[in-house]
Amino acid sequence: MSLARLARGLRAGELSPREAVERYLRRIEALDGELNAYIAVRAEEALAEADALLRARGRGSLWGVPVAVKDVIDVAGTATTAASRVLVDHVPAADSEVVARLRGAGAVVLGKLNLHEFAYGALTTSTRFGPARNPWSPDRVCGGSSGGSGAAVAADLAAGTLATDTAGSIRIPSCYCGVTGLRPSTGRVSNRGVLPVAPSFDAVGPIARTAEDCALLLAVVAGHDAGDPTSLDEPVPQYTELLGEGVRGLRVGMVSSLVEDADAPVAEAVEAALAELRSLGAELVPVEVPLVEHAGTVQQAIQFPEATEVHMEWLRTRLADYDADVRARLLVGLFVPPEVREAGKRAREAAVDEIRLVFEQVDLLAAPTMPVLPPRIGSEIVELRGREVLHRLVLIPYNSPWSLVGSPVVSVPCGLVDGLPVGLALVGPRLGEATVLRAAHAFQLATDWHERRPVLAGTL
Amino acid sequence: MAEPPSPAELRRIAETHGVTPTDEDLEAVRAFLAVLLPAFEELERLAPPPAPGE
Repeated sequence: MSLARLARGLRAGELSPREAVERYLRRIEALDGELNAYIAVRAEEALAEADALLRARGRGSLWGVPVAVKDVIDVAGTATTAASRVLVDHVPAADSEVVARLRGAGAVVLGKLNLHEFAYGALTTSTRFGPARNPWSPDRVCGGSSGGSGAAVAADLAAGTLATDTAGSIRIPSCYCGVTGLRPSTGRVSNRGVLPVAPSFDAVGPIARTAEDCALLLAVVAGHDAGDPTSLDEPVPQYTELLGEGVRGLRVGMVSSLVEDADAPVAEAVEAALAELRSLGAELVPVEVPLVEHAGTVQQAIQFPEATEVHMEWLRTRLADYDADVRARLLVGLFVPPEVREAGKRAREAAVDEIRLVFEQVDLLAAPTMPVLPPRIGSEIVELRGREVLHRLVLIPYNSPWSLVGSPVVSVPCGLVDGLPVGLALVGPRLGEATVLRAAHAFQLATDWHERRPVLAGTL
Repeated sequence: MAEPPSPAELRRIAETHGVTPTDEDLEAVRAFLAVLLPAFEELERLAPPPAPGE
């Protein structure tokens, strides 16, 4: 059931907040033993919070809606683990700003979701909590770092989720799990009370069934937070009201190099999705975006040392408690010379100028969210056009360009290849969330890829 | 700069930050740096520092 439909049902009195929570708790109990999407389920707390809603004055847009959050987002009184042994008994006293806003709108927090350790990887296979399994094929990864969020939505273990994205961590699991995810513009949503990866790239955003669900969640969490220096003080559009404007007349730039470099069946699914947008009235134009070639290097020149700075004290005192892959990434930041980081900052400014010119020609950019299917758990190798390549390398050109310039990106399901989901990424200009959501919504009104469910999710 | 520093040099640099990696950690880091350092060299050519007075 979509979050939007559930919210309407709750407001209409078709079910109570407690009944909604109980529905998801039953599904979690039945399915999460296999999927491992959750790190912590707040069953008793969620039921009590649902009952308390009946006594509350006013009913917000998410009244009674059970949601879950990635386990780097603080929920008062519940441990934030980041799926790491480094954080033992780290129980925040206060909600993160985004959770406070969710609660203010009437949402109930079901629990904390699995992730790649410290949100610093794309597989969601931490040794502390074990891998999250892809509901479409449990021997495959969910992607990451927000893998638990993708799995929970795909298997209907929460009506919607909040996740984080530094270099693809919302988009990749949304793609691999066949759900809809939005990385908002950097600074659009508060990061206060959220463990950082690399603060100049980090963005909190929704993963849910549909673009409409994402718009509902974004409308609640977006907006200035005076307590977060990275937060933008810009007006927030009425995302849900703008959803229905369609794509007629929108100029959509297909990033040719990213389509051509994707695995052939993935590229075919994306081209079919773009043809659908054209049939709905969008003008489709092939474009080259030169920053795609170097964006990964530029992001890494800044991100590696930024992430290492965040972890510096733990690297000195808890180094052995990190998983080996995350430990190596964090150590790399020690060896990036300051002049390289400065060159990266200059190149990022140039990239922002370049993308501004691109968005003078088109309203949106479109590309595959990921060029490949999810790897099997335990392997980092994926097949791309007949070659075996490292997953962590193929994801970079598809995700870093948009993180680098701080653009909003939505990933929508647009096909199945060998029974596994494929995603279309729609990229907007900075603060252009309303346009990407509107295009995604139009696509979903015309197609049913977002309604396809893995067999496992339908077993209850 | 394109060649990763030796494990001994990496260890020396890490220790200046108060970090004591294992030999296995340093080998993993060298694998990352083998890919990153040539790309970083190219980045410095693409985005050179501004000339004095700019």
